[in-house]
Amino acid sequence: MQMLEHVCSSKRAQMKIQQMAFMLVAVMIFFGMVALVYFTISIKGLQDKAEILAEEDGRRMARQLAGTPELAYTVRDGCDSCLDLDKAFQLSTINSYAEDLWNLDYLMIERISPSFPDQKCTSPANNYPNGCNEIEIIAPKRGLSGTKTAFVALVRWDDSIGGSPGAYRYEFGRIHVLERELGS
Amino acid sequence: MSKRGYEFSFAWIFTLFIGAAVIAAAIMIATQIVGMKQAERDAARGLEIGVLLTPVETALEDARFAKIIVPDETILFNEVREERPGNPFGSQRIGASIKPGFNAEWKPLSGVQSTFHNKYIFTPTNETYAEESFYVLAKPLKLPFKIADLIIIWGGQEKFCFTNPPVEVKAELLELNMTNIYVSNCPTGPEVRNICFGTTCGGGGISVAINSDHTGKIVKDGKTLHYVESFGTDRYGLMYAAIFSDPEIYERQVSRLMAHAGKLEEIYQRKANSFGSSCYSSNAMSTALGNYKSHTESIASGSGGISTATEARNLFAKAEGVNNANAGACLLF
Repeated sequence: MQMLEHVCSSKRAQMKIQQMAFMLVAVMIFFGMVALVYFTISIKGLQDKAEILAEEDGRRMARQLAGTPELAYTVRDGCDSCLDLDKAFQLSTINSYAEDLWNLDYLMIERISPSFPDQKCTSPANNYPNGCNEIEIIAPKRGLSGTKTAFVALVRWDDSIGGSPGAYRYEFGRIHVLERELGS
Repeated sequence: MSKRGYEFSFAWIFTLFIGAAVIAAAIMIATQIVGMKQAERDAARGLEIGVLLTPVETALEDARFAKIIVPDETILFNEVREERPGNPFGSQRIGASIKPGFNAEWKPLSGVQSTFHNKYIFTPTNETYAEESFYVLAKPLKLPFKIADLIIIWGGQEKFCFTNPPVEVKAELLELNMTNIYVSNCPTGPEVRNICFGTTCGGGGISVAINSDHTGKIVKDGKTLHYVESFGTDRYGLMYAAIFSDPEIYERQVSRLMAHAGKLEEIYQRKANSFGSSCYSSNAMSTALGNYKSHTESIASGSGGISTATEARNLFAKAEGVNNANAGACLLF
């Protein structure tokens, strides 16, 4: 009789231990899930913050790029946002220069007015300056969504105006900039 | 005889053991989360400072002074990597560390650093501390065309006393009215650094010698730093950089700037060639640019930036050669 009681009590204790173990596992899973939700929200918040900063930088950069030594028109004072189209074109012909210098995934200068054929500028022998409207300085490294633009005055040397040797001609255009993707 | 005692069942021992393990895990996770949040704040601050420096840079104007207000005590980390194959412009890496709350240990650098290849930041040390604000002075460097902006940053703790500066320097300092920069009524104390022009400065001061050949030297912390004047109206960008900056940072940045100048020459060389023969007689521009490039590249490939007065003089002479060739109707820059 005593033996039977001992066996029943032992079985009850085992049941209790099992219940407790299940309970503890459930508690751990619950904490794990809470932590997972917290980290998801937290990492999303961090990613959003980083993207906002990158976007802000991209927008500023689009405006500021016209003033960088590689692109700025510096022949005459008083034209802060003028971009030297000849320098931009030469820059586009130097392999990897712009990729090494700027943290960008895409950089392109678009000539809006006067209008030119809708083509990429490739070489003076082929179509620059009078047969093209796009100077692609950095070819797109990813999809172009998120590209920032800023309007700029473009200046280029034109040896057909003002007699010999020529003069600088002003155009109107737009700069397209896509910030380098975070973590790349 | 009965002995009284406590009997711990297996269930109790098991519960205590698992409970302790759960609490220990919770503490460990909480510590990790606090550390992660700190790293996140530091990384964001570093990136913010980097982004804020972009509008401070100059366009066509001369010097610019700005203040970056930080809400908490912050250390700005400045790391410069010189140019090398695969990274022709070198790297400017900046990071920040915000003082943690609750008297927690202030780790040196927990957040990720931001990397830029087109920025040149000069700071008094690798780790610049600011309680409330960082002060930023941006100066263009033109040799003879614009190479980059020199961004000089110091914290609220450093004070600089300019003694007997040339009229031009004094006028600019008064005009910019920069915080913690004095040209008269200098405060005293260990945080004040004296900058003596034309004479040797004792007691940890900085001695500046401006030569008539558009070069000069700064003796700071036992090291001699050479500089060349910038073309245009704002001539002393590199001099200010050498005065405010840690000597090693200065030398590395000058090396990067020379590499950048050599790369810019490629653009101007191609632009000059596209102008055609009606613009430049006897390849004067092309030759001047070629000489300039070989000299800047030689400085960049050596150690310590502009290492001698002769090197500084030659650099200015080569830049002057390009500037003289850039005359007439077809101006390159």
